Amino acid sequence: MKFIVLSAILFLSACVSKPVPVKMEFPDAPQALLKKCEELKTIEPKAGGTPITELLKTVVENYTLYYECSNRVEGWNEWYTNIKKIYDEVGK
Amino acid sequence: MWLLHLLPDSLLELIVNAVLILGIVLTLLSFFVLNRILRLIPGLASYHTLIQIISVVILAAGLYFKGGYVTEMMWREEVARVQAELDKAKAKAAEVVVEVQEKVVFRDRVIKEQGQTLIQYVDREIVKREEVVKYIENCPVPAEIIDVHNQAAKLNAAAKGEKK
Repeated sequence: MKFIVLSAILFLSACVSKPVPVKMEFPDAPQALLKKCEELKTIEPKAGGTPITELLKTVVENYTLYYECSNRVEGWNEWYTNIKKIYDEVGK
Repeated sequence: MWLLHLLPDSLLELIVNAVLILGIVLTLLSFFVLNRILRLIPGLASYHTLIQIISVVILAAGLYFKGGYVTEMMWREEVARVQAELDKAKAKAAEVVVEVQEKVVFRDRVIKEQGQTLIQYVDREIVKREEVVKYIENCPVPAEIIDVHNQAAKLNAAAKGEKK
């Protein structure tokens, strides 16, 4: 009888859990976020001095480029936070 | 073992249960009932141990198959459940992609438009103002200031260079 009990334990102990073979694909990011940030613009110095308006326009253009880039970073953060939340729920 | 996959689940379960029940019944009989009967028959008494061993082997096989079958079924259910959850997550992720894409594209457009509007405003209005015209004529921005501005605009070039 002892042999039976021992065998039962031995055989049942073989029923260990194994990892679930489900392939998880990395989610696609929005195309708009994959664009690289553009380089900031420089001013071509003019002989006899550069007009202040030229400087002002370049500054405005660079602010525009900065905010475009910052917008993409915010987009990445939002995408990551949401995707993480969604995928963290899987398997719970 | 792969041949077992060809059998329908219900038939497999039936076979596994039959082996297990047979093992249990034979073991109980061989340990508690059969020994008393076989003692009465002189020729068969020596087979008692052999029958006990065979019945235990059948019981062990039944337990092994039952354990394997139950684990396999639980495992398949788990796979199906996780796969369903993943499909759901994938669909939700696609929604998030569309949502973020639309938001970023919209904001990008607004930023570009605002920038363009400001530049047009400078070209259209600011440069024509008398005090600005006077300022441009009398106070051109020195090359040193332009240089510093350009250096600031290229600050990242040094950092990129270091990485390589």
